[in-house]
Amino acid sequence: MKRARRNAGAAAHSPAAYLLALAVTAAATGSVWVVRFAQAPVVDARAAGLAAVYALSLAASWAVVRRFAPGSSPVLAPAGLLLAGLGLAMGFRMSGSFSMPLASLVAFPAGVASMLAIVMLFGRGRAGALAAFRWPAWAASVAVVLLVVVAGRRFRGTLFLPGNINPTEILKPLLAIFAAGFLARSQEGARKGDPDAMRLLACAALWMVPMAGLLVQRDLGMLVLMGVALVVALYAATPRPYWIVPALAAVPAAIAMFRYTSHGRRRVELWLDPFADETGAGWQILQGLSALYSGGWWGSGVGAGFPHAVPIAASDFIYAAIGEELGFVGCVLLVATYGALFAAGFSAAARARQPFQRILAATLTAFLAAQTLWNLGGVTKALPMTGIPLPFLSRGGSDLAASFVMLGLLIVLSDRAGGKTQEG
Amino acid sequence: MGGGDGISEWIQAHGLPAIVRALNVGVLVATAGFLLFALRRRPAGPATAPRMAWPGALTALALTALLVHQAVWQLAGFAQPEFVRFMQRYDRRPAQAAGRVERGRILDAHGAVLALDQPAERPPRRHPLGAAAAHVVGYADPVYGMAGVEAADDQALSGLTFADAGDFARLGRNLLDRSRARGADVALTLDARLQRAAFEAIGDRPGAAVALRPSDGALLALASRPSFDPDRPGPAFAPGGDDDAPALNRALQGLYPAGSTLKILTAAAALEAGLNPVFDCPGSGFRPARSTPPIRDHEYYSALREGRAWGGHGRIGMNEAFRKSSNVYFAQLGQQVGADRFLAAAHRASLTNALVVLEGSSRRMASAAGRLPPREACPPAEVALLAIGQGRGLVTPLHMAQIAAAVATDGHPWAPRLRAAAQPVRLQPVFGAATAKRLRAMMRETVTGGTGRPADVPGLSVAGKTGTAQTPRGEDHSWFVCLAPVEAPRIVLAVVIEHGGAGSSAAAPAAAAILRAADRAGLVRPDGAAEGRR
Repeated sequence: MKRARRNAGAAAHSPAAYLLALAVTAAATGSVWVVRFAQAPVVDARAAGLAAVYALSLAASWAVVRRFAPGSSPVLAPAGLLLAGLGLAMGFRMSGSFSMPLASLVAFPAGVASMLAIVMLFGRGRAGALAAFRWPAWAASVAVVLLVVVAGRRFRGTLFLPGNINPTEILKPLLAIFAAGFLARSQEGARKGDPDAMRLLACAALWMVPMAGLLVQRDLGMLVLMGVALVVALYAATPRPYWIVPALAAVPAAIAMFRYTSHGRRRVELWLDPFADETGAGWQILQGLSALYSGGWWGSGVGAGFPHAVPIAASDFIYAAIGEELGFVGCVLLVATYGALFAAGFSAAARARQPFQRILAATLTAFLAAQTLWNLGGVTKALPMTGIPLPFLSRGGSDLAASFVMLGLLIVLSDRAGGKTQEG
Repeated sequence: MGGGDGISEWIQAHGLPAIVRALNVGVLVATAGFLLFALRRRPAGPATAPRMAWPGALTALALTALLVHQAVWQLAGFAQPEFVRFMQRYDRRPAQAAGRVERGRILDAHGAVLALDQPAERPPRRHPLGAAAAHVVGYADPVYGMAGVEAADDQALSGLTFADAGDFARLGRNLLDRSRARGADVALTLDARLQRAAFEAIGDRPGAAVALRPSDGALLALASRPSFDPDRPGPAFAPGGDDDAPALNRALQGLYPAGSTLKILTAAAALEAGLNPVFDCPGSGFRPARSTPPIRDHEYYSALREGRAWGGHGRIGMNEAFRKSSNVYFAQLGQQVGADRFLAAAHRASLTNALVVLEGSSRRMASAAGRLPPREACPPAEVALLAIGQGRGLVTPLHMAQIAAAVATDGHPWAPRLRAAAQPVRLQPVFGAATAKRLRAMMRETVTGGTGRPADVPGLSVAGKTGTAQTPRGEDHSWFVCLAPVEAPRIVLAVVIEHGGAGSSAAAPAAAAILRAADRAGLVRPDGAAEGRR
């Protein structure tokens, strides 16, 4: 990586970052594989299949991002792929002897494909075209919420569609596109200037329509994320401090949600004193913390720990398994990787040439950052647990795919080159 | 549970392969390399909205705060007693660091080990006195939890109380190298030899024995039978077992009618009130109220069993009545003392208090509270029964030992205590010195020429009182309460043997055996005069 080539368009998309992501995933998967082979010398070919799928995804991502969004951030795609690769390795680690986590094998390629499709369609400065989808995006988000409320089945306190798919994950990019398009509308063409208070109010009201559905669904985690993202969207839309209004309104709303609904109150009580019911409701959080404690500074090594002691360690509590097997040092590096991803996202917002790109990049990053913080906070008992997955890392289906869709959008939004850029 | 369990056990047995270590270092190094790459990339183009730096800064701040919070659990979790206790009980990881905390030892007054960790063994927690001290020392078992001193002082034993700078230095070292932490040792006032002797003296029947030093309240022995193996407490809790309740610490928690041993208190209340009457004690007994059956003396029943008639004691005073343990006399005395004065004396003697024997770092260890009917439920007929230790009064062996301790300390006893380092605390005066002196004389007479003769160990000047407590079912409970030597008491005993019959037949001989052991241990006479040296 020569300093002179740092900002040189496609050349900035060094394969080194992708190769480092490959190294992380390969080493983690290899560690699991060796531990298992040492115990029982059976060649587990799934590891090779996993590596092939992942390596192919990396190569395709590198080629597509380089070709179709040459001016985009060189950090975003490899950061997301590194996290998702570690997630695949952990999925392999958490899976039983020979049952591969099908969800991640399907959802991961599907997610990467969606990301690359977005880059191909909206790269080279064509991200502004997404603003036209603001109303379809809003309508789709309402439809998704309605579908879940009508057809969903309750599982672990939340509604899922058959197959335990939670399609509300897709709300995040849909609503972000809607808000950015709606708020940027007033700043285009003849009507230059920031959106006025009425428009902000209307945006907040429309944003809250699917939120009402989520309230019925009792998806507290998603409600918190949407509240945070709305505040950031308004913050990005105008330098005037209108964002304070929803931020202040969120306080009594959150208090009401966590105090006056039985579902919310249980989670707060559990958060404040998990020892009150340590073998019942507090079991998962305390086992998660025990896993962290047993990991110490350096961890037991991937595959050599005991993460199955934590209920649902493979999805919402994957961070506890990582803390146990990669230690506190591994957690610091992992959190720093998330930090790099979010920094690139907010940087794209700060450097956007158009309000739409700015608002969309900020809102999407806010969704990802809030979700990461809320999940990590829940596992470490810094915040109440609300059962939301960790972006890119948790073994999941819809969430992993939605995260990659958002990553694809961030990549095209960070592409300053527009159409007038140099070819790689 | 998935496949992870077997893998962990394999790692325990064989160690982590070096290649796995290398691969994990590889994960960390490659991630760090990616971060370096990300840091070196400067974003292209000028910032059009510099205010967008704020959400980024806030996110960075939140992520940092989160890592700090995580470190509190992940790296310094051992500083949170509840958390460590949870991990010790419920974390099944074979390599769990919390499990590496070596519990402190429990020691007797002379440094003999009552409980220690032997990490190489299964189970690692060992109790050298075994069943003999299972109740008082207790157990610390991953399945059955904790009891006794193990439970009461769990935090100190687990190394979770920080008394001085050295403890904090240890905490710091543990944070860095996660080395084996070691809990604090807890020294008790118990005497291991006497504890064992007391346990053996009770014999095979359920019962309890309390020995304490009256001069400062130090508990020398707290024995209870039936018992269990504190290294493997499981069978004591097995469902469908007999109703002997082996886990019950009868010395502290067993509630019994006191029988005639409570006559010490009745006599004290009378003497304090200036009463020293002579009563007629006929063989036909004494009817405390028209509707109640007569209270009779034990001689009447012995005679009845042998087909004889018994004429009664005739007119006797307190000394003779005490020596012969006359129910007829003391029932009348109780009525003359009256409910108010009797209950007041009982309360002064802490009879209705839960006596705290150890203020532990985790919880307090105390006796059950004795039971007395409330004043309004004490008509004269009830007082007559209470005065002879029947009726609705219930006491623990420790309460009876405390009454004897009051006699031994001129009426001003010390609170019972189990921790060697605990400061002795004096309780309120129970009765005056003159009363105490008179009681000692009467108790000495009881041993030399009354019902307590089986406890008259030569050379020890034992003074005591027998008790035969009637029970709803089966044989009577056998009691003996004593102090020795009567001239300057150095030990106080309370022994109860369930369904042992008369106090003189079971509890008094057991007390004699304990006293002999105490004398051999130098606890009764100054060392020079001990039996073994003569």
